Amino acid sequence: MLYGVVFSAEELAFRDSVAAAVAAPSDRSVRQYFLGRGGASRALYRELGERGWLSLSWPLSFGGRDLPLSYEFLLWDTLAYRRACRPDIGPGLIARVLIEHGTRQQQDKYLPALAEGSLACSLGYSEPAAGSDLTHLRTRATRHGDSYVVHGHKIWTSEAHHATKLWLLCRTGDNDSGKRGLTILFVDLRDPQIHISPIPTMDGHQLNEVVLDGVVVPVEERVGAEGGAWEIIVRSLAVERHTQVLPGRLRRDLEELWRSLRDAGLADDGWVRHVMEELEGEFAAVEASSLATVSELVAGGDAVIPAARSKYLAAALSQKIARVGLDLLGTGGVIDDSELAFLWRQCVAEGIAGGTLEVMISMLARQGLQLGSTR
Amino acid sequence: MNELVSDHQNNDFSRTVSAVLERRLTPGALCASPELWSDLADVGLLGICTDAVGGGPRDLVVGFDALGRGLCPGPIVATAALAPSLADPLQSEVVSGRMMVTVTDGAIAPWGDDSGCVVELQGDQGWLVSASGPLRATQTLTGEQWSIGTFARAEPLGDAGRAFLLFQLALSAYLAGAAYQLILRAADYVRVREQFGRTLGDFQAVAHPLAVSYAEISAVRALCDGVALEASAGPVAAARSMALRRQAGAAARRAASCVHQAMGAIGFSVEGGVSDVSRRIQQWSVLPPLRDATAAAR
Repeated sequence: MLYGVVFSAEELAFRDSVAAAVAAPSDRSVRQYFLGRGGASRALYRELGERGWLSLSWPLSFGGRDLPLSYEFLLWDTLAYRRACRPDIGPGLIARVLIEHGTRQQQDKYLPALAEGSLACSLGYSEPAAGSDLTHLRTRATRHGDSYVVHGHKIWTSEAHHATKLWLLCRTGDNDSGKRGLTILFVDLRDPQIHISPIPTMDGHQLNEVVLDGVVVPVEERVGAEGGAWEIIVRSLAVERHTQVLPGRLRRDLEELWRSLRDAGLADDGWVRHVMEELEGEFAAVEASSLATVSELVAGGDAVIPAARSKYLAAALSQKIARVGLDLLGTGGVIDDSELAFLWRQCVAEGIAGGTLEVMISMLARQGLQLGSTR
Repeated sequence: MNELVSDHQNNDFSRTVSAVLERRLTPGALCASPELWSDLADVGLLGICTDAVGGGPRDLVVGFDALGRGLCPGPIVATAALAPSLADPLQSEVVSGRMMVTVTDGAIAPWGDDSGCVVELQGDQGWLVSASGPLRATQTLTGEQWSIGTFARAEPLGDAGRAFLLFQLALSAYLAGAAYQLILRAADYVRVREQFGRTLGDFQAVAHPLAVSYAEISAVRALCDGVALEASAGPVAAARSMALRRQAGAAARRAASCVHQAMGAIGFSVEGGVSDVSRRIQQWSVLPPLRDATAAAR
C-alpha cells in the first residue's frame, strides 16, 4: 500500500494511534462524518483537542507541535475512513490565518479554544449574487469609530446553525473595488442582529441563510488589513481544499459498495467485478494524487494546482462510486435508506463545496497549462 | 420515409396529457391522486394499445414523454404498459383508472400498497402474482413507499412479451422526458445566473456538458419513437427494448448529474427541486422488470 512507502514509521505510528483512539465509537452515528461539525463531531473534536491533535502543525510558540502537515492529513484521513468527522475548519484554515495574520490579542483570545476543539466556526463567504465569484460579494462593513457595522446576506453557509463564530468575508471598499475591497471580520454568531434560516438539502441535512442586519463588530475582530482579505482567503482555501474529499473517505465508500454488492449476491458477477476493478484503479490514482499534494505541502512548495487537481479528482470519484454503485445495485440500492442511496444524495455536495469542479478544471487549465481565459 | 420524432411537445396528445398534469398534479406528490388517475384514464392514457381505447406504441411514447416532463408520480408505467395484456374484468378496471398495476421482481413491489394488480415479468414470460406473506413497507430514495415481501405466481399473463416491450418503451420515454425538462431548467438557470462578470452558460465548462446531455437525450427520444415504430410494424426482441431502456436510463442519469453540477448549491437544496427529478430518474431507471439486477447499469 502506498502509505507504507510514502510515510515514515513515526507518521504511520501516529495514524495507528488515531485509528485506535476512534476504533470503538459509542454514540456516534455511522454517518457522523456527513452530519456536520456540531453535536457528536464537536465532542470528538474536543477529544482530539485534549490529545493535542488539533494543533499538530502549529508552531511551538503558539502551543502546537510544529509537526509536518502530513500528520494533519493522516489524522483527518483516518477519521474520514472511520466516518467519524470531517476536518475542523477552526484549528485548520482559521487558526493558520490567525497565526500568520492575526494580532497578538486575537491569537491569545482564539487559538487556545481552537486547539481545544471548543470553538465552532463557520465560513461566511457565498452570497446570493456571489457564489464561485467572491469578488462580487456585497455584504458591507462600514467603519464607525472603533467598530464596523455590517449589513448583508450570506447563503449556503454550512455550520452556521451550531457554530459560535462566523469567519466573515465582507466589503469595506467601494462597490466596484472587486477583490481589493474585501476584509475578514471574526463575528459572534450569537449577535441578536444575525438571523439564521435553514436551507434543507437533498442529503437530509441543511445549509443556512445568514442575514446580518446592522451587526456591530469591534475593529479588533478584523483579521489582517482592511481590504487585505483576498490574498489570505485564496491562499488558505487553496491549501485546505485537498482535504475536502480525502482518500480515506473514498476507500470506505468502495468498501461499503463491495459490502452492498456481496449482500445483494452480485459480488461475483464478472461484469460487476470488472466495473469495481476500474473504480479501484481510479481510486489508486486519486490516492496517489492526494499523497503527492501532501508531500508538496510538506516540502513547502506552492500546492495550489496539486490541491485543485486532488480536489477535482477525489470529488469526481466520490460521485462516480455512488452513482455507479446505485446503478449496479438496482432496486436493492434504492430501498431502506441504504448506504449507497445516502452517498448518492450526499455526493452532489462534493462537486460544489470548497470550489466547484468547474472552477477546479479552470484552475488546472489556466494555471497548470497556461490556457488563457479557459472560457 | 417515416419521420422519427425527437421532440413531441407539439403533438396534440402530448398537450392533452400535459394539461391533465397541470390541472391535477400536486407538486411533490409521490403517488397519483384518484383525480389525476381518473383524468389520465379519461384522455385514454391508461388504455393506449388496448382494443378498447386504441392507439399504438408511438402514442404511448408521446404520452410518456409528456408524463416524464411533468414528473407524473405513481405506477403509471406498469399500469399503462400492462393494460393491453390483462383480461377483463381486470383490464376494464385498469383502463378506467380504478386500479393501478405494478411490476415486481419477486421481492420488491413498487407502490405495492397502492396497486390492486401485481405482475412479474421476465422477457416474454409473465405472471399475475400475489403476496405469499405479509408485506413490509420501505422508504425509498425518492420517498415513494414500496413494498418488500415474497410473491407467488398465480396465473400466466397473456402476451407478456408485448407487456415487457411496452413497459421498457414507456419507461424510456418517461425518463427521457424528465431528463429533457431538467436540462431545459438548467439552461434557463445558467442563461441568467452571472458569475465572474458573465452568465454561467457563457463558460464552456458549464455549457458543454449540458449540450452533450441535450444531444444524448434528444437521441434517446428519437430512439423511443424508432422502437415504437418497429413495435407498430411487428414483434420487437426483448434485447432491443432493453437496449433502449439501458441507453435511456444511462443518458437520463448523466443528464441529472450534469444538471446538479450546473446548478450548484441551488440544485443541492431541496427547494431547488432538481433533486426531486434526479432522484426520480435514478430510482425509476432501476424499476423492474430488469433481466437481471445489473441490467440497467450495463
